Amino acid sequence: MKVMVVVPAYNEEKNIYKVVASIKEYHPEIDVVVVNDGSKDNTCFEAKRAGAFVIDLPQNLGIGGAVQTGYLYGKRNDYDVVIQIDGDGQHDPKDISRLVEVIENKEADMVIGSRFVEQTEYESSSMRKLGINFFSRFVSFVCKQNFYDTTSGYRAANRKVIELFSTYYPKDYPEVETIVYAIKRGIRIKEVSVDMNKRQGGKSSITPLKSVYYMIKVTSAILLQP
Amino acid sequence: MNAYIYCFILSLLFLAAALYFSKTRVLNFKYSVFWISISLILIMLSLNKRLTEKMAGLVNISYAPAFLFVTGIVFAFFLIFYLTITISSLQNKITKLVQEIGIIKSTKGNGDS
Repeated sequence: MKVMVVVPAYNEEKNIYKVVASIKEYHPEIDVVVVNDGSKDNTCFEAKRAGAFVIDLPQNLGIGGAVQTGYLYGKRNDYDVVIQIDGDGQHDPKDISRLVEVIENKEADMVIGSRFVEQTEYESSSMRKLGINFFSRFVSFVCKQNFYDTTSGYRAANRKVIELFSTYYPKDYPEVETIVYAIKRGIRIKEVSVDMNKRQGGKSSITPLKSVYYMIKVTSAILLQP
Repeated sequence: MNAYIYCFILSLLFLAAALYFSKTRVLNFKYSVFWISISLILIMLSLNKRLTEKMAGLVNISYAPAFLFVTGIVFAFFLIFYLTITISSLQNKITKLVQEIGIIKSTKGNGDS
């Protein structure tokens, strides 16, 4: 199986080296593609130093556009599996093989690395929990299948999903919407429990005002599926 | 100054601007045709008080300027809506281009920037 990891990164010079290096350490056979989303710092240099292949976007596209670039690259270069890992070091690369395994065994087309399928050490604030809970119930209801961690950006996708996401991927806050989008197109999704670290550097981009926009945007995007 | 003359002068200025930007092709021609017709309609309305009153009467609005305001505002809404559709489509095109350029740059040479 030809596997690649896509790491979207915007101004992650402090984390990206560690993220790429630890993926390489666990899985030297996997190609690591960092999509540098128009960073203003040394993200590109740091990623290359760690041995990643870097796609330098000339303009900032936001998380959706950056991740989609990874899927597009995966499709063009004939990868069987594309794995998505955040650039801030929250996701533990040791779980990659468990995600790939599910796809290899054809148990699902897309795998989500989830914090909540089993009790893990991850803790989050109460407001955050409320939002995560709401989307978990809402998505489960719309998809008629239980989903626990809809906001996780730790994912693996097979060819069918790579093809799907390279044609359409939401521009901002894409995680939740893509689950519903994929399910409605006959994609089988499975959640696998993973450990998540507290972010190692940088700040969460979600402010109170943004979280209101987040809730409204994502909810209406689910109600108004393309 | 008579209100209608005032409107007429404004419409005339508008027509001049529409013609100028069309002639220099700063404005795409498909929009030029639209704006030139709009300015001609404005000129007609400002010259012909009766026409405005008649149209207002058709929808039972006794105060003709109110009719113009309502029509104008609704029209402006539609126009802005259309513009946001155009912007969205441009945004999608730009996203595609940026992604392609990024991939091409990284595969050809080492992507210096």
